[in-house]
Amino acid sequence: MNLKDQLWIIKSRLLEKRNLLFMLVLFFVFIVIIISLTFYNCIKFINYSDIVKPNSRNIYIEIDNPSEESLKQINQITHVIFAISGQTYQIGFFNNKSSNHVYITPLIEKEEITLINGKNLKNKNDMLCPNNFYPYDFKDIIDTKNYLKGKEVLNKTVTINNEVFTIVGTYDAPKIRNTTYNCYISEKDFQKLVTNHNNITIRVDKLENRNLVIQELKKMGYNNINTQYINFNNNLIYTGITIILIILFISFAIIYNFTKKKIRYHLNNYGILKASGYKNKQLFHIELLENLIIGTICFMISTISFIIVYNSIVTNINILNIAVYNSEITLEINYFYIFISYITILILIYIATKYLTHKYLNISIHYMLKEE
Amino acid sequence: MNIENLCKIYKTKNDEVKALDNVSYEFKPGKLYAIMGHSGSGKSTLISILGLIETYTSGKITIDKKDISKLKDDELSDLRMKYIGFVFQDFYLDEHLKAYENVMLPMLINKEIKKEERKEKAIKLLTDLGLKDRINHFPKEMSGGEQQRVAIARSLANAPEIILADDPTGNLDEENEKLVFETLKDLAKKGKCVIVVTHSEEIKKYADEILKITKGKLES
Ligand SMILES: Nc1ncnc2c1ncn2[C@@H]1O[C@H](COP(=O)(O)OP(=O)(O)O)[C@@H](O)[C@H]1O
Ligand SMILES: [Mg+2]
Repeated sequence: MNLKDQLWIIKSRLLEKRNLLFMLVLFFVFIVIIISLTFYNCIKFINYSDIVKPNSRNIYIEIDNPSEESLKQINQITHVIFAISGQTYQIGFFNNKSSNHVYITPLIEKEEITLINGKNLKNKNDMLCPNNFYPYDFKDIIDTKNYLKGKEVLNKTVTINNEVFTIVGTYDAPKIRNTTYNCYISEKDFQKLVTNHNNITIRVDKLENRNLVIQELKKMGYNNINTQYINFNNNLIYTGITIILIILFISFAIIYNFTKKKIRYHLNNYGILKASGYKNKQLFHIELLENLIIGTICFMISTISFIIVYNSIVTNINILNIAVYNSEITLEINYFYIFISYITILILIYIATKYLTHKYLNISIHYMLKEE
Repeated sequence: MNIENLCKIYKTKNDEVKALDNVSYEFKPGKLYAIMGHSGSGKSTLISILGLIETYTSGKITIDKKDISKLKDDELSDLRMKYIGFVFQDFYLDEHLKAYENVMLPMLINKEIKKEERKEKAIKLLTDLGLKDRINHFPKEMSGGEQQRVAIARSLANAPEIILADDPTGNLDEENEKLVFETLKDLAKKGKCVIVVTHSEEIKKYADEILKITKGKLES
């Protein structure tokens, strides 16, 4: 029995009242799942925004006047983006507002940046900054007047230790997990700014690789290794997982009940089909296909309506701007999560349908037909 | 179709009901058999077992010289498709499908009927049963007699050798009853083995053999 024939059987009854009710309920189930996943994502973002600043990806080694040779060696470790003598720079910027700052880091060849506007570093005191340049703290985020974007940033100047730097280009910061205030200058200019050489600063590509690099460094014989203390709040993750499990359980209960009612309602039809030679597997496929179609329709409607509502809310309160503040976790709708929740629902539908068809289609046909 | 020492015991929580007690019989093609008896005597049980839609406790059934006792569910389905057409008292038509679509339903799993032929075949079956102008009607738009004839057409969809009917006229008036019995008689004349359970004395005008069943026992 091919798909077309199965669809032929389903099409006439797909819009039955009970199916419409099922769709409506499933629509809300999907909405709840998508909202909770997105909300979970947002909370995670707010909670983590502090710890995924670029400094948290730094490793410091206390060592006096490190040699060129040792820096080169460290630079060759995988996951290391750069290793320099001295500290990365963090300085006040614009109007001397206390919370405003930029991070200055040297542009090492290994760093694969993508230019978006302007040109790359060439002359003395050139500077690159993120295309969405936002050198402010989290609490200032609603004040979007100070938020500079794209070409607006070009030719602005930043003064560091009496040296005037000119922004000649902007780069794609999220792509390499940089914040909105991580600026680059040439290695030569940077060395001039560094005054005390009692430190090696190493930056790692991702936070989760930090420990790997530390292990390598220990193997190489370095001892006084410091990192910023990071407190991962695991409670949040556990709460999130618990909520998601509860939602999944409720979803399964709903799907199970509707499928049960539906199969019982169609027991006569299935009885007749079985009496005329249909096999259990064929009837299972028909029921499954119907439920999968219902699930998919609801999923699409839910996702589209959620995206429309979410985007209109988020763009109106400018909260999406937060998303570019930090690139490691964003506030955008996580389509991967949505996709995963869709697959999960399909699996729940499969399990419920499989179990229920097995339960109801294996009783005697004579009995199936007597059942009201 | 042959049955030997067929027994059926329904087990419920509290007690057992012996619905069939050592029933043996040989049904031959080209004949119309009527099974009669009081309510609760085991008629439905017998015809359901013959139609492979109810299990039996002991005994032997052979269809076309094949012993069916050791067959799996899927193999029984194949036999049902190939050999058996079943007509029920309550018609059991799919209310969402038109008359000809209801008749097409059993054809979907029959590889011997090509996709393009299905509709044509369904219409021919309906026309043969005098439903030419009801082809595109939904069950709700038809009288009980018409619905039952659609159900008969559906049971004939895959051209089975054996037609079974459990009280097919139970919900019909006398006039429609006559039509249904005539239809079944025609099928028997065409060489099919037709077995019908009924309360109606009217069947005596049509049946070749009348089987009486009391308390699960067959008396010819
Ligand atoms: N599913 C069942 N469970 C228990 N007992 C049943 C079941 N079906 C039928 N019976 C019993 O089996 C006997 C025969 O029933 P049935 O074959 O339906 O008789 P008839 O069709 O002649 O009225 C009756 O006593 C009935 O109560
Ligand atoms: Mg009965």
